Amino acid sequence: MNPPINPPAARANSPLGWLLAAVAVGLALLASTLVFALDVQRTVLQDRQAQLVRAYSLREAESKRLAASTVTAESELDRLNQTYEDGKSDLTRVTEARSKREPLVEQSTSLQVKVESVIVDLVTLAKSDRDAQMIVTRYHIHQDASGLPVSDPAEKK
Amino acid sequence: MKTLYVIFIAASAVFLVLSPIGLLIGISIHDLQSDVQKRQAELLTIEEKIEEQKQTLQTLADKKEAQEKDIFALRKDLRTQQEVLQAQQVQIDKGNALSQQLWPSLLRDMAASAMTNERMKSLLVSHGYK
Repeated sequence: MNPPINPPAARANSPLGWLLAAVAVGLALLASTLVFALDVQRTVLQDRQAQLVRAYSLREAESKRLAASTVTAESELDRLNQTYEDGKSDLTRVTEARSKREPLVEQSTSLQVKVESVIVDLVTLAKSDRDAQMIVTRYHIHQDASGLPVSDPAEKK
Repeated sequence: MKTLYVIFIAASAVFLVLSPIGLLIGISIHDLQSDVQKRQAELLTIEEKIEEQKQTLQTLADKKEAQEKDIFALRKDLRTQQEVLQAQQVQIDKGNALSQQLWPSLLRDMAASAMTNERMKSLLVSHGYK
């Protein structure tokens, strides 16, 4: 039997030829699908990356704003602490001054009570005694609403 | 016959062209995934930092509020003490005015009167002046 005139053509027409062509087409289709899927995944990742960049940028700005606010708040707290310390020192000073003045106040009150007591008796005496009346008049001694004697030194002659 | 060749060659060509493209995209995806993971970690870190900063700020605000209350109470106390101090000064001035102006002069006149006035003398004696 003679060999075929066109062996490759005969092979190409054979079932093996069809199978090879089908495998090649299948692989090409698979590669296309894979590339398409990978491209979609890449796009998704790029979007995610862009979102993360934006989110980080926003958080970074917020962090800077918070850091600035913290510095301001710390400085304000320092100022308040200083104000409190100054106030405490003022209070100590005033309390000490008050304690130091207590004896003077007691002395003054005691003298005032003593003088008022004498003047009350003088005013009573003045109702029936001419000398006492003259002294009361000279010193402009009169009784105030509470009944206590008062004298206006400015009116004294 | 030729059709099969054309199909085979074309399909093989498409496969050969798409394969490196797919490989390159795969490498790109790998790099992107690494970058995305790194950025997610960074985002997490900065979010934790922001949370800490917020807590610090809240603590400072609480401290500030407490300090303002303390200062208010301190100032109120200081005002009260100053008022007491002023009242003390008024009392001391009053005593000074009495002891330096009215009282010596009045006592002198009363003593002078007591020289001739028995009732005045009694008054002074009753108050401890002899």
